[in-house]
Amino acid sequence: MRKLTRRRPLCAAATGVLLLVAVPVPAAAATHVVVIDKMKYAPVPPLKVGDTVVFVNNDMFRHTVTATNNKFNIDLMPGARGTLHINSAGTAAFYCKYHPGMRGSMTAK
Amino acid sequence: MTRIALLISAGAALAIAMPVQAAAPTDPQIAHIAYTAGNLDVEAGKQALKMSHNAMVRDFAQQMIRDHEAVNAKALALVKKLHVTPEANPTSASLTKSADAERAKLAKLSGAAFDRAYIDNEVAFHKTVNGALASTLIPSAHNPELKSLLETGLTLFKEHQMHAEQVAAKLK
Repeated sequence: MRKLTRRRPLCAAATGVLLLVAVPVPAAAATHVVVIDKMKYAPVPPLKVGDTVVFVNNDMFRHTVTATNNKFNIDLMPGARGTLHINSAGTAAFYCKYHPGMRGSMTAK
Repeated sequence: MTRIALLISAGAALAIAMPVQAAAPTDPQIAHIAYTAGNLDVEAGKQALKMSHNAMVRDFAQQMIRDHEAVNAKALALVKKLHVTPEANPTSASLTKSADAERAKLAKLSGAAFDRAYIDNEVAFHKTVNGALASTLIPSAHNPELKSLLETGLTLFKEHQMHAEQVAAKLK
C-alpha cells in the first residue's frame, strides 16, 4: 500500500477559507492551542514562521477568527477547532465576524 | 430594600415595560427572567425571518436566534445540574406581556417599516435587559455558575445591542 506523505492542509472543522496556506513545517515548528471561551480569545503566544495555531472554540456560540485585512477567516461552530499555519512574519489582527467586539492579534517572527 | 432597576431609555419605554420587584430576585427567579428574555428574543427573531426580506435584518435575526438559543440551552443544563426550578415572577411576566404586544404591533407592519421597527425594538430590548443584568440580576445572583453565565450573557448581549445599533443606523 502506498504510504501517504502529504499533510492535510486544513482542519476539517474550519469552514472558513485560510489564505495563509499550508507550508512545509520546519523541525522546530511548534503548535499553539488558543482557546475561545466566554466571548474571548485567549492570548496568542509569540509565534515563529512555520508554527501552527489551533483555535479551539470552547464557547457555546459560533465564532470566527477573521483577519481584519481579510487574509484569513476561520468559522468555528461550538466545539470546533480550526488550524492556521504561519508562513510569514508580521502581525495580524483578527476579530469575530458575529461578535465584532471580540478581538485578538498574533505576531510571528 | 433592593428593587429591580428599570433602565429604560426614553426610546425604549414604549417597547419594553419592566416592572419593579419589591426585593432582590432569587436565583430561581433570575434564571426565569434570563431564560424568558432570551426566549422572547428568539421569538422576535423568528418573526423577523418570516416578515423581512432585508438580508442585513435577516442575518441579524438569525444570529439572535442562534446565540440566544445557545445561552438558553446552557441555562437549562445549569438549572438541571443545580436542581433549581426556575420560578415565574412579575418581571418575567411583564417582559412576556410587553414582548407579545410588540410582536402584535410588528405583525401589522411590512417592508422597511417592519425592518426599522424590529431593529429599533432590538436596540431597546437589549439595552433594557443589559441594564437589568448589570444593575440587578448579576449582583443578586448567588450561585457562581449562574453568575458566570449571566456575565457571559451580558458580554454577548452588549455585542447584540451594538450590532442592532449598527443595523439601525444603516436602515435610516
